[in-house]
Amino acid sequence: MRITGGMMITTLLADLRRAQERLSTYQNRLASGKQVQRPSDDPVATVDSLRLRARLAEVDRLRANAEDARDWLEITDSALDRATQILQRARELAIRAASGTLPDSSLDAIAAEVQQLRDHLLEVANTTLGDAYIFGGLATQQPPYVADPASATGVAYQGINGPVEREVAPGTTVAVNVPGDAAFDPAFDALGQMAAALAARDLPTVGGAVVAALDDAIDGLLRFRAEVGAKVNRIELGLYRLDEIRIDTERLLSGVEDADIAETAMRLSVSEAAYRAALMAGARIVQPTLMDFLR
Amino acid sequence: MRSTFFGLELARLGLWAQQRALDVTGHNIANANTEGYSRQVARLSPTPAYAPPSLAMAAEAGQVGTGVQVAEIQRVRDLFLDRQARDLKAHLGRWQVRSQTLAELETILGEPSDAGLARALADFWDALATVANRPDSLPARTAAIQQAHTLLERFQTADRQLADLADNLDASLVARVDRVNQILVQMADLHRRIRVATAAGQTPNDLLDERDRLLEELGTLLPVRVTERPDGTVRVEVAGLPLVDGQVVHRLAVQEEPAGGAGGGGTGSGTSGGLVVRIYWDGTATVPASATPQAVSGPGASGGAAAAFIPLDDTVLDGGEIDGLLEARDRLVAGLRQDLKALFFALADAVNAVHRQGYGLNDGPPAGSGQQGAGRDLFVVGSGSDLQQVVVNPELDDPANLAAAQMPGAPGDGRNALAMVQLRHAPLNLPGSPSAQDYLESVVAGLGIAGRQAEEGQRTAQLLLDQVAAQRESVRGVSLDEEMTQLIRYQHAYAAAARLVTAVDTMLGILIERTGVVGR
Repeated sequence: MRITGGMMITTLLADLRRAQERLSTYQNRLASGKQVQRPSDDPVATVDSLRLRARLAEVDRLRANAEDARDWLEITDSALDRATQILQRARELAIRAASGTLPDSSLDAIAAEVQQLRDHLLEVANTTLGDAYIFGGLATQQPPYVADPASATGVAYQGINGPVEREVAPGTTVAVNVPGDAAFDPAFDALGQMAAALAARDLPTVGGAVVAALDDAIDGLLRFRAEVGAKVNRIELGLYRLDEIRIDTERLLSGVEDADIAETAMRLSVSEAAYRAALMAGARIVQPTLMDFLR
Repeated sequence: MRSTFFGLELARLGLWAQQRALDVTGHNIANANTEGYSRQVARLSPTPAYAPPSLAMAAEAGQVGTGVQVAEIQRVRDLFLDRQARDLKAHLGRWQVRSQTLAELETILGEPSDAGLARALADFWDALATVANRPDSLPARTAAIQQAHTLLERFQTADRQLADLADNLDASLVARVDRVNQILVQMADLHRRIRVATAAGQTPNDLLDERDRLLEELGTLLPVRVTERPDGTVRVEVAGLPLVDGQVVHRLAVQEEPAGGAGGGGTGSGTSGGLVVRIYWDGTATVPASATPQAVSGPGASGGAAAAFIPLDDTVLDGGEIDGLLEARDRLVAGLRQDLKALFFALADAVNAVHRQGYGLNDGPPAGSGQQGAGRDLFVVGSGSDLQQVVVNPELDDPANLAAAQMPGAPGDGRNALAMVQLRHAPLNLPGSPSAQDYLESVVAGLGIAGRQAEEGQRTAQLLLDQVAAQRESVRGVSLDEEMTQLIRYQHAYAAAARLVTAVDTMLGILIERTGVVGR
């Protein structure tokens, strides 16, 4: 092959261009810390990265939902616990009152305490999480129970029953609310009966029907607490699983997107050396011609 | 019988030929770095020998050479390599345009990053999920509606950027068609001068070089087919249509036409409204008077009734920057625009369908029986074909109107918002029933694969071109070492021929001055 000066220069320029391209690729990777900067760098990795990012966002959202659901359920549980304690206190009072050995003044004191317990139960039934009432069903903005002198129990329920749902896994929802009327109506009812029986000094009823009603109300609350507890367990498990998914996804995403710093740095220095060598060779090749040796 | 001064004449021819060869060498050296220059070689040949054969010839030993002449100044060229280089340049031109356009599309899409469409989509779902958890919270509702605005804006911005890109490609097309017409006129002019020179028995090497340089430039723009003619001119065709043949030129014309209208174009050129540039081959043959380029006219402008205007689009052309630009505009840009539009409208339809079923904070039960929901759209899509017309329902400026509830008058009901969130995995009304995320992924993947392919295509074409260029340079390039050697060679031959003059002179001197002096 006939070699001309122009050829050598063209070849040299092409080689330098290629060496520079490689150099700049690795420099970019090292500077950004990212393996993939544009879809064409690696289409498959790009799609993986998009999918993993979407999954991360979803997992974060589901975690937030699950944590919110857990908060809601835990507050529900503690409210139901307080309600149970209130009813148990009422039961103790009912049994003491029914013993028939108490003077009138004590019975009056018991009646006053029952009034107190009912007010307390009203507070519990109107528990809020943030500014949302948790026992009002879908009516979260108004207290589910209001004092109502006209009713036998002294309170009226004004919630809208319906499930308050949280998505805790893709497509899976959990109803986090306990319907207030189902949980508290028997309780208010029993306390109402007790107040009425005490006022009438009908001690056998206090010891019989009222205690039975209180027991039923307590049983009802316990059933709801068991349900809430089961849901909390399920959500805890779900959260644990979501944490695992999150860690896995993070790891995969890093593997897809992030540049291997050590490897990239090594490649960078190799391509730098190649570039230097090309420059040096160029400087040598281009110099001598026949002219240098003619006199 | 030879002349007495035969030797002088012979020496003169020698001097003259070596000098011309030296001039050719000098011309090569002077043009060592001239783009498109082919080295020239003076082909020397002996002049006809003395004497011509004849029956009446005196008996004399053989014929005697009479000297040397420059038979031809050859242009060293390999036509096959020239054609290969032209074809490769056409390929490279197309890949380059493709690759550049795809790089811009990737920038417009902005994936993978925290600022792309995928992110806006994820944020939209997330904001709706917050509303599903806190349907009674006005700040959460406002945030979700803002996120709907952001999502729409991301789509609209991408759409607008794509439209701008198509306009830029149109401007590039017009500029390149102008350049093609300039080249055609310049070539016709060169052909006139080449013809004159060839008719006078000369080889106009430098004009031919200039013509070939123009041909090569034309080759990067269009996939041309070149036929050499004996008179030194060429016929240039594109897609079987003559562009220039000798001095006859068929110009290209551009015309702005409604997008997707007559005149062919790619399948994906269904841009809504707007004008796109189309290219036509002008059937009217012209012989330009001078090399001054004339204004490009549209098909309607020249008014020749019989003149045929044949559209040139990317289905007809195969290679060249113009083909690349057409393809980029009609397939890549229009295709991505179409994809994004389809995605947004399918998504908006799905979201609207759910949103219509729900109730805002202040909505009562619907008037008609068997009706469900307040019937409000989240995105008002207008004609459903133009992204720029879409708005987020202005009724949602009041965040209470976001239909988060499935039950009227239940502020704590977030079930409809949850139903909207769950659309993130729902199949959309698009071919293959993908989810929004799937569709976006496939668009990005398609773009990435095309981009990678274009880069590889460009690299391969560049590599092949580098090789062919090296081979061609090997054939036609000026090697200074070689020229220096030639210089010395001709210099020595010249000196020797001069010495011959001296020798003959001395001989004649002896004959004239020293003979016949006997007995003087």
